[in-house]
Amino acid sequence: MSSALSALQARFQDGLVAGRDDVLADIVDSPREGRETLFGVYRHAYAARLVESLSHDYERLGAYLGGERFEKLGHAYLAEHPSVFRSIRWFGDELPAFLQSHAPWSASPELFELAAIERALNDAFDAPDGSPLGLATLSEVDPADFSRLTFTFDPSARRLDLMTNARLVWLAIGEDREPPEAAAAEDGPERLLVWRAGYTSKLRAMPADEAMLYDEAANGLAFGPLCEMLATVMEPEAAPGRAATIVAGWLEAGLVVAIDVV
Amino acid sequence: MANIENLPFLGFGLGLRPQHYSDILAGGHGVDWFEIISENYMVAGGRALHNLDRVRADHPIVMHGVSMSIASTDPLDMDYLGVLKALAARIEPAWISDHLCWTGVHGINLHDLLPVPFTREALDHVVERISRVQDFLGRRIAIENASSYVSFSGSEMEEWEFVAEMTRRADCLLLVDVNNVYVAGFNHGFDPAAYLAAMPADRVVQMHLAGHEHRGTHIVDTHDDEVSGPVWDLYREAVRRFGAVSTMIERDDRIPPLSELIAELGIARRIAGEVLGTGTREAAA
Ligand SMILES: [Fe+2]
Repeated sequence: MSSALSALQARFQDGLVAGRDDVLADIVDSPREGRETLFGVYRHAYAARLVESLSHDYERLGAYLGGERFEKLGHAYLAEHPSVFRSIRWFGDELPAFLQSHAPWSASPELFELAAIERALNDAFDAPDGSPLGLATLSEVDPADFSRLTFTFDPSARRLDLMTNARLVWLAIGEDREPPEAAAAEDGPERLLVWRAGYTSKLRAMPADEAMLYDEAANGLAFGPLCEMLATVMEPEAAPGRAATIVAGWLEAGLVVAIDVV
Repeated sequence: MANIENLPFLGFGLGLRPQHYSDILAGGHGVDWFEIISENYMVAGGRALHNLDRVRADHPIVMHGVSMSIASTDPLDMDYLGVLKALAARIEPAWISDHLCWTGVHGINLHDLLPVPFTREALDHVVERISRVQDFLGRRIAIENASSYVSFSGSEMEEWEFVAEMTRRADCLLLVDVNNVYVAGFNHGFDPAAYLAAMPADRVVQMHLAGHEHRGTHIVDTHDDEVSGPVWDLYREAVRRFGAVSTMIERDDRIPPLSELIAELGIARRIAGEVLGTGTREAAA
């Protein structure tokens, strides 16, 4: 739409997102105050509101960085990612990726991993409601079908692989403790699972074998092939037992919403 | 005074805020109804929707949006309206409202209620869009007057003329934010009582009260403090004009315990009772 109104709105928006002053020519001084100060109310409110919303969504990252550094990050992010969302809740979705790809933050990988944890928890918080199956569901399955069972996980569930000790940093800040010095994860990447149980978002570290099974099960691999895969990384005779224990744990945690026979 | 849609007088309400869920669900608080920020519940699932369903089971709810961007020159966001309509089907609100403002152009949402120039072009534009939204939602919507800090040199009429004409031509309802009238009146140098006098009383279905921050030369609509004395005076005038209209306090920042807001809501009850005679509910019936 090309009109006086659309041109005015474009100038006004440029005044907020690009710091341009053209719109001041459209604005009149008030009886008591100059137009620059008055337009400044919008300028200030725009940045302040969006950066504040980031500080809610990434509370522990904010505590880890400290107010001033977080504020600087927020303004840099806003400059590159103006919101395109109906809800301010999603404005910060790209913050982990931004931290990973922009100096100086990219030099400290625990920052983007800490942000990724918080984002996953936020996403789990308002993910679709699932109806988790209980452990008893397994007893209704014909044992002859076991090897052909596939599992559908709760829509809130998501996996993260962390290269740093970001989970320990996250944990310490949540408990009001001094966070540990940033470091590489011990014993290779740390496998995290984030999901919502009932109405509470949860997070736990997974052993490597469980994470492998989880990722393949999420891809649709059936229980039989999952056992075979596990047998390549452990004592083959013990693999079916270990796989059964893992699957039972998923059911007990309310992670599985469907079991199908393929 | 009845409104043209025969929408009910709900009494005295508050904005539903997550900090208060447990106190509200415990019951016995005496708040007659709640207003939700629609966008906060336009999510797939989780605790917020669950709590909303529980509050809804015992209370009327009205839906108040911040992203319709009715005055924007971007196309209407039909995805947004579709989700809004679906939420309304779930919640069955007494009514749906949004603001006389725009929130961005070129696909960007600035998440602020930005001011409209009071021109004939803007009036035509807003009227046409309200009509289309009402057709899509299958109901009249209420439009709220926003606070503003700037006036445009191109404006061709006063804000109250714009709002009254918009309401008549779009055949919509009004949510009168008494604080916003006061703030805009101070910032732009008009008489807020004259503004109220220009509003078509039979369209007013709801009133907002809120706190602001006085900065000497201008007032900022902050929703982070108690309702100020002059705004209570203006509310008294509004009740004289509009009669028994569902009224609530908006608090979005520095949110106090529920009991404090309930006490503040008591001031609104008292003023309405004094103007309308004893028993505001009876007066409305
Ligand atoms: Fe309001």
